[in-house]
Amino acid sequence: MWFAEGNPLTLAVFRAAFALCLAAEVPSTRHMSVFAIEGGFHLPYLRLVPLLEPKLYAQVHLSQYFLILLLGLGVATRAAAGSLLFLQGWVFYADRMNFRNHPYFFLLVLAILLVSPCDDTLSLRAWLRGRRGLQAMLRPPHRPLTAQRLIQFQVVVVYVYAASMKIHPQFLGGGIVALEANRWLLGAAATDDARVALSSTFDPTVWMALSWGTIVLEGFLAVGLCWARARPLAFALGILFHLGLGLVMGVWTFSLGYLATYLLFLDPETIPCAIERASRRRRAVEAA
Amino acid sequence: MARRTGGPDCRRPSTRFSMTIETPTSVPSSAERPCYRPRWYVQLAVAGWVAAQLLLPLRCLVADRLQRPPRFCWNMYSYQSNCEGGYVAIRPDGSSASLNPFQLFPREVGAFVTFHRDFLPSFHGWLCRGLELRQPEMRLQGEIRCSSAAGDQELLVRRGVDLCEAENFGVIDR
Repeated sequence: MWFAEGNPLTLAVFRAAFALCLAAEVPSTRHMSVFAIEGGFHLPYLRLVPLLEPKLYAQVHLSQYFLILLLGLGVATRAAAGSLLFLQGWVFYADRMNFRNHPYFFLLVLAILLVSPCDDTLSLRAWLRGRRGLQAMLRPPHRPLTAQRLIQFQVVVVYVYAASMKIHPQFLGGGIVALEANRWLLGAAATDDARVALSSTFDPTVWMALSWGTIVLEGFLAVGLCWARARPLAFALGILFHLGLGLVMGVWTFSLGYLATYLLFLDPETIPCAIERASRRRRAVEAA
Repeated sequence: MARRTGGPDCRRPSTRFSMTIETPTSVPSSAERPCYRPRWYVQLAVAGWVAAQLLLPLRCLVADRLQRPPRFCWNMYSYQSNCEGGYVAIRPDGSSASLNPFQLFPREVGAFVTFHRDFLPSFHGWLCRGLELRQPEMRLQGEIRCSSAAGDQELLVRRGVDLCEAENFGVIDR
């Protein structure tokens, strides 16, 4: 399973989608990872990771757009992925207070892409090497699917632990879901009294049911994505779940980045065949 | 490592599911795909990655959330911490100035990360160094109470002592 070979097009499509998510994430990280800037109190992981001056901090984020463009286009991909890993890792590991789950997830994915054949097709590199035209893009030489499998594995691990970590009285009692729902409905600036008033308008069992449902859903997604028969249902529920998270919690880049990983659960021939069928249909229509 | 080229026949619709979502062609399922033989260090790296990702978050399932915040555990929106309290800098004449710890960080989340038993001594050390530079005769006292995941509120900082002189900067060990 880990060392099978196949068409790398799906991984290349994921690379392009992931680059878009990385670009969307830069302003948010720049706003939230300010603990990497010199001055004030710090909680470093290692003293070896230096803090950044404000000007350098801004440059580190600005330069990521160029690297993300290279990654998305698939040219100098390894250099771009490696540099992004370095810059984002620097900001991330400069201070413990910068920890957030989705930049961590993005770092792991970047590390996997760094050693993957994600630019073997649908890339400027492939085009420059003479692999041009639709057929060359759809049918590149088969390559190891190990990177794809590692990202799939990572996605499943996240679901397993995300569900496991929620099994405690505060979450099961509905407290966290009620809090997040109220933040969404009333806005972050709402007073505690307004939140309490809104919470009390719903039966507590609503929040409890949503909480239990979240845990069951995350558990199901971990299993369903690995189980071929359940995968279409897992896709449908996962898409609704992540769009819901994006809407309620505003974590759009994580939600969309995570949904992009669903592409990797498709058979590596699904996307090339779908494009071929569409191309054939178009030619048939044009001929008619 | 041999590379295979060429594509499958896409005309035939899928009749069965493979390890991945669908096999729209006569392509063998992933389990039947040709496998390459990776070098030993590639196998080792994959095994190490898989083991690390499986084992690293396990510790958070049993960890005390007030000792240190769960990190690298995929602990997403799963619990809420509440902290209250603050610090007072007391002059030799008895007058005092209060310090709101939530305003000492560029973002409020910094306080919620710092208010754990493992991190508070560093924070108190930093506050004490700041006082030492500006007004060395001042004493620092404080009280921080936190609860996590709707658990009981616990006092993390010893009351009524000079935090700069106290053992472990006045942070109460569990």
